[in-house]
Amino acid sequence: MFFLEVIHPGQLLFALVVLLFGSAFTLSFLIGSKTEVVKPLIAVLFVILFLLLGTLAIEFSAAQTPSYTYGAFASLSEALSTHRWLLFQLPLVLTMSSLFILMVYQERIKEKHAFVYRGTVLFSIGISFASVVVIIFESML
Amino acid sequence: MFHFFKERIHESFALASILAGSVALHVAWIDNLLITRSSSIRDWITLNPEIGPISGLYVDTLGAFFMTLLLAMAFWKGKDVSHWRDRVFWFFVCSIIIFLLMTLPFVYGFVIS
Repeated sequence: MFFLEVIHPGQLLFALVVLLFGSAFTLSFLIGSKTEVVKPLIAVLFVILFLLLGTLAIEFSAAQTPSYTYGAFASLSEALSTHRWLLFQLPLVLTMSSLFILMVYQERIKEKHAFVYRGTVLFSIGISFASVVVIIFESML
Repeated sequence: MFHFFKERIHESFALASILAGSVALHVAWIDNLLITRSSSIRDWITLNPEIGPISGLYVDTLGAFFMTLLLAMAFWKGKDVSHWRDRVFWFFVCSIIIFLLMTLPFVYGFVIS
C-alpha cells in the first residue's frame, strides 16, 4: 500500500497513542463525577497499552543499530534518542497502574475514600500524555 | 475478570499496582545510571545486540513491576491498607519526579573531569 510506504507503521501506531491519550486525559477528569465514563476509559487504556506494545515490537524488530548511546553524546539528537526510549517506559508503566486501579474500582471510584486512586489515575494519564508529546517534539530535533 | 472485581473492592490490589509502578520507575532510572557508568553491566544487560541495553532495561522494568505487584499483593492480601494510601501515593509522585530528573541526559551523563 502506498500509505504504508510513506508512513512508518510504528509512527502510525504512536500517532494513535497520542490521540487516544488526549481522549483518555479528558475522560479521566470526569471519573469522579460521571461513573459512565469509567468503562470507556478502561477500553481506551487497553487499546493504548496494546498500541504501545505494538509500537515497541515494530521499532525493536526493525532496529539495525542500538538507539542507546551510553552517555557519550556526539550530538543532541543522539542524546535525545536515548532519552526518548527511557521516556517511553513512563506511559507503559503508568497505563498499567491506571488500568489495574480502574479495573478494581470501576464505578465505585467516585466513593469518598477513593480520591487517592482518582488522583493517581488522573496524574498517571496526564504524565503519560505529556511524555508522549515530549517524545514527539524530541523526534523532530 | 470484571465480575471478580465487582463483588467487593480489592483495595490491596489497586494499592499494589501503584507501588509496583513506583518501584518499576526507580528500577528504570537506577538501571539506566548503571548502564551508563559500567561497561560490564551494559554488556550483561544487553539481551539483543541490535537493540542494545534498552532490551534488558525494558525487561528489568517490567519484571520489577510484576514482581512488586505479586509481592505487595501477597503482603497486603486481606489486610486493611487504608493507612498506606497516602504514603504509597506520595512515593508514587516522588518516583515520577525522580525518574523524570534522573533520565535527563545531562543529569545521568554528568562527570567531573
